[in-house]
Amino acid sequence: MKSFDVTNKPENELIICRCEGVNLGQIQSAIKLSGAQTVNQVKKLTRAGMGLCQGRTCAKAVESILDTEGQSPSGTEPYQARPPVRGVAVAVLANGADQFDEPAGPVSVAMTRGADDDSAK
Amino acid sequence: MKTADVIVIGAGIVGSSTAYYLAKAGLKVTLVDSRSPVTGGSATQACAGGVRQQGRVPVEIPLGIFSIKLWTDLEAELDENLEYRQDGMTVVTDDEQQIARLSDRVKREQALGLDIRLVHNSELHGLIPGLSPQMRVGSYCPTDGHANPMRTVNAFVVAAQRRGVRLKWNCAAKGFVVENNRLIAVKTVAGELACRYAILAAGYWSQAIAAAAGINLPFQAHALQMMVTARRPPQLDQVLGWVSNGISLKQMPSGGFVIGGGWPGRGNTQTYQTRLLPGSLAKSARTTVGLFPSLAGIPVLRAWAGIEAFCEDEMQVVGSVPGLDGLIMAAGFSGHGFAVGPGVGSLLAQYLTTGELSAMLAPFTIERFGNDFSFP
Amino acid sequence: MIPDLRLKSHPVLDVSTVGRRHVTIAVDGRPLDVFEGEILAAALWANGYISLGQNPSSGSHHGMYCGIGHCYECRVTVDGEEDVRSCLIRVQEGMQVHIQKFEI
Repeated sequence: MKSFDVTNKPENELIICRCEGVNLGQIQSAIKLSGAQTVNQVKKLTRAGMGLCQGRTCAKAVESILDTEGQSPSGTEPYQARPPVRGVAVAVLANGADQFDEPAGPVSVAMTRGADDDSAK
Repeated sequence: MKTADVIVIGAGIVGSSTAYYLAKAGLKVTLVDSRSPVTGGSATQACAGGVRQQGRVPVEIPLGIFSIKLWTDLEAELDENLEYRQDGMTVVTDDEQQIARLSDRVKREQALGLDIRLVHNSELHGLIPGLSPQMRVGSYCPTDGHANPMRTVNAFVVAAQRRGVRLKWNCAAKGFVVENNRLIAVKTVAGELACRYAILAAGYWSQAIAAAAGINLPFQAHALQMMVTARRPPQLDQVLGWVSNGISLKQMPSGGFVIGGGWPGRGNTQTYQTRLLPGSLAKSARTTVGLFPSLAGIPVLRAWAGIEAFCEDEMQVVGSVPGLDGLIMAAGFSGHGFAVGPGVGSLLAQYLTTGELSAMLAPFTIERFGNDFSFP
Repeated sequence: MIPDLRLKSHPVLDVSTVGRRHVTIAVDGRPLDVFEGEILAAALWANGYISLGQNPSSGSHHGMYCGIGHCYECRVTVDGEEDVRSCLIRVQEGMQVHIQKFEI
């Protein structure tokens, strides 16, 4: 990375997470100042890995930065895999709703009751 | 053994804010957590980030109002960008039968001092362009809003540390050392930590820790699911809810829409692992399109879940334990703790320095369960 | 003037356009002459659409990067559907493409 100087910008402005626009300096801060030790922790503090590609492009780079900064073992905790595998439009997910019996509804929380007084104790 | 004045157990929103306000009040504090504030799977770390006053049980409204006043200045207090937005929240309905009940709730909350009003039809849709046209009435509170949970907890932790709080991560609390009905230390995997007070703010995991001292916290764990969409230009500044339909909807400053609403997933409280129910994803998505139709074509990028403690009466347990001097509960926020976290932290600091428990916390003491607190 | 960045010759691949049928698509309302069966991202690039917008966080330009539907940098709006990976679809006659623009 040190010899890569096409843009003539300071090294720490190099974009690591393209989707969320997170640069090298921000990731280094998360590691050195905020104590991030794994890719998931870097993600929560910087948003790297939270964008459209969900970390597919930047994961290796973030792991490499963690290795460089002396945080180990960075490679044993990958980005946590979650559905959906790829972005799925809200309406497409919604179309499948009727095929599921479970769950019957949301866990009863005050918000969903909203209007009524049943929750007053 | 080094003695702390207070050991705060649990670095979620309640524990981290309590540690901060205690240190600000001049107490010597150690904040412990079984993991760390950024590991994921627990309540604050997975929550929707809603910061609301409305829709709380009436006895919690004063605490909500007080806490939102703290939120208003919190970014300055902690010297950090929390992505806090106070652009309002509206809970809507399209159901004739709900309108009267919504109106009653609004009147009750107004009487408790909340700035909230019913908005109808064209005023409602003028306030929230993009809201499904079928919605007729909403309860609009202009001082409700949202913030970034990860940034907020982190900011409290960093600010606490700046004020001298000792942080001990990967330090699970196991129980308490009690002598003559007085707490003298917290038992952790790293040994005993001496203290005058311990604040148990470990979410669902408070139950097992309290049980070790013979105290019953009537909690159940629920893993609640959340979804986030791809980013779009700003088109929603309020937080939206829909009466009796499980949804909370907001758009983050970074542009993605965060969809909550209490849909269940599955969680393992031993490993903190959660997994998602496809039925919850689908039904939550269906509710979303019904509330805000323009989201139909936006891709959902990710779903997740976090383990939250639901108390049997869905209210938190806060305050001292009769018969065990020094142990203070602050857990069981049942899905509505993020907004009141700063308020609880501030009032607990006041409690420990003055000896008087604020009236705003009085409804939440453990005594309401009528247990027999006689310790051997 | 629309740039023509199409390869005219290649030591190995046959890049000749002789006999290839033309298709017209629109990009932000502007008609573009492309070839039947082309991958949309390639057709856009050949006509000078290398940048497909700017990232709202960093301001950096994005455009086809991985080329295999992995990175989403080639995302455009196609016939009203947003966040379409242009490297994964072929041009169709009359396709309406819009470059995604937004600031936060």
